[in-house]
Amino acid sequence: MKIIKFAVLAACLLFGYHTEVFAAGSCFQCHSRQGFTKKFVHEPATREQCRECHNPHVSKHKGLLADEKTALCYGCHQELKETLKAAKVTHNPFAGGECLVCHDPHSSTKKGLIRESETGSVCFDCHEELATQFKYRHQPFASGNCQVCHDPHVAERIQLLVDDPDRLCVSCHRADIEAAHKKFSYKVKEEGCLTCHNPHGSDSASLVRKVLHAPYQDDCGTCHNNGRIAGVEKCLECHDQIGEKLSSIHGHLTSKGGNGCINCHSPHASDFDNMLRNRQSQVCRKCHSDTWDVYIDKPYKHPDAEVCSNCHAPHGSNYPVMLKDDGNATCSSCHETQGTFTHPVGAGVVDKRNGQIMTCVTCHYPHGTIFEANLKLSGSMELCVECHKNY
Amino acid sequence: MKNIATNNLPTERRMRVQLFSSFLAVLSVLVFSIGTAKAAGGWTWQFDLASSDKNTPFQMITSLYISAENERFYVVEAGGNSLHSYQFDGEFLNTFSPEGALAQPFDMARQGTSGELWVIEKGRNSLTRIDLQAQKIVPEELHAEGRLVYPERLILDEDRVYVLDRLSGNVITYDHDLKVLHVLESPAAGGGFVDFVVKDNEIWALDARMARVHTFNADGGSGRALSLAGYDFSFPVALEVGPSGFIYILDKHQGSVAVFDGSGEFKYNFFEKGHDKNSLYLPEDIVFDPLGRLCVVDGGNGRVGVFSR
Repeated sequence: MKIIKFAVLAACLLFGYHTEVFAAGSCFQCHSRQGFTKKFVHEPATREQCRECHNPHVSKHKGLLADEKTALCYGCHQELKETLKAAKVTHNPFAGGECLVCHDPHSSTKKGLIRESETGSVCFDCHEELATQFKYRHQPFASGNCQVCHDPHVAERIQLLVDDPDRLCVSCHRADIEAAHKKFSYKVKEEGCLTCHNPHGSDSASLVRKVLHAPYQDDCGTCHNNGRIAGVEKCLECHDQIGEKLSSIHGHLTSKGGNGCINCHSPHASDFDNMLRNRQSQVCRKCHSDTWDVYIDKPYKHPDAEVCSNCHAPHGSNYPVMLKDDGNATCSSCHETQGTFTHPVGAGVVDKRNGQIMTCVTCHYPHGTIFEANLKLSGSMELCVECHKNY
Repeated sequence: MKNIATNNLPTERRMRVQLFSSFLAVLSVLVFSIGTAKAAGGWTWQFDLASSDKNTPFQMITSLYISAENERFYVVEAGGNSLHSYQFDGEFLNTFSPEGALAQPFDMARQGTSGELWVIEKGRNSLTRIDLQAQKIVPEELHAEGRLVYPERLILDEDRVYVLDRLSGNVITYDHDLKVLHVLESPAAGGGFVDFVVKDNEIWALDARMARVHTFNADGGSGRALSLAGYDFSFPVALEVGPSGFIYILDKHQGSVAVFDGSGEFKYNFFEKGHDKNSLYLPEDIVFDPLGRLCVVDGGNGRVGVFSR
């Protein structure tokens, strides 16, 4: 018995010694050290402990990784896993465990092992639309330091902003504000910066956005009266066609006080259609994040789901959920043959569960679901037996 | 005891008794499970207030007014430009839908002494008084603090008219001549109310964005601010204060009701999104009737569900 125990112990010691030697040096007998020599090196790599991430013998994961890559990263970076659980807004690669989209696991010239990129910033590899060559660029943007304003993992605010946008601007530019706006006849407050300025860049000096609101160009007093911002009525003096929409069953006034129009539209300058404050999807998401969260990661999404105004009337509607028309007409404005060869819908076709007229949205959730064709439940049976119980 | 009794019986009879007992046990489990399936959070569906014409289901019902005085339910059907009355047992009474007279009615109340109907019409952006006997309809624009008001919700009592202004998110109290008495604002920066109720001369208002309920006294003085903690809302649209002081918040997108105690602590939630009798689909409002029944204006399902406990 003693002999067997001794033999086992000796084998363990020998094997352990052997693998230690292997980890310390033998990887680089074949693999070049070149990828490990940059300024910032992943801590296990500094100790040449390749085994902490790789299995030197076999693995079912690419690159002989010792585990599924998310689990591998979170094995050490547990605090990030906890952050993700509590996160309100997450960066897609982070939420999907795709750490290597942004990070180099071996070494990098950039702090945080941020991957190097030909575009100048790893951010622009995905956010190509931002890589526009503006004539004037915001310094952090120009240098690829996006994290000055955006958190690359999680944030409380949409677009992963690390703070309220005005507070962010003021944190660097407080001293400049008064001098920069001295041509105005009134004191510019430390708020609403993005109603005039593009935080990334512009072809206009001072990063002023492309399209200026006509009264903004002419006379601030048109809308500002003794420091008081004009109400919706002032906007409707010019944009009178909108007034009727606001008086719909679901008028899109936002119960936020002040002028409801400027919750979505910039009163000063904009880079977006209809003088929106941001891309349409982000304007809507600011209040309707629950809708965004329901569909954004679903495998079956409506094409252009982020262009909300394709289906919804943004100022007001007399149809449910502010659709442009009823649940059939809205869909059939694009899906022309819908209802002619599929399940009957429309007048005279009644949903047995509630007596309502069947429409496309009786069976489909147009934003996105986990089921093919954006069905609400599985189309193989589950959805059908909701009504056709005898089948 | 049952085992001892059956042990004394002949084998065949004992088997029959055991078989019958098993059948009863299975039956009771089935009955019990059906019963509990019907109950949502202890609330059991009683009946629906639905369209009297099955071929013409309700289109976009938006509110329910309950008249304790004449024991009537009034359902406001914005999409059909009509008002519908029912008895307290759910029996349909009448539809008020004069040709072209109403433009997207959204909420209503009944003046106790005169019997006048006061209706918020979205299509006219008005508070409209309807004298049924004189067949007179008088729409009126509302103003407060020099601005046009976009009325959304309405409560009427003996000497006051309470209106939620959709634009500002303020609750405005008027006298019956529509002279402004108080403007009640959400104290939270960027906040605004989406619904309110009046209970025992106290106004309870829901700030959905901030997930808070604020109270005000009859003189417009600010009272408590309750943070609704422990529940993840999607799109809260309405509140009700229950007979025991619990706060009921209706979440339109989740199709559920979340209940909080008087300090704002989450207690439980019930209902789920769907189309059967115990589910809600894009609901708009909740109200307790004088009999303690919970009435849910279930817009997406085209009915008002009446539930009791």
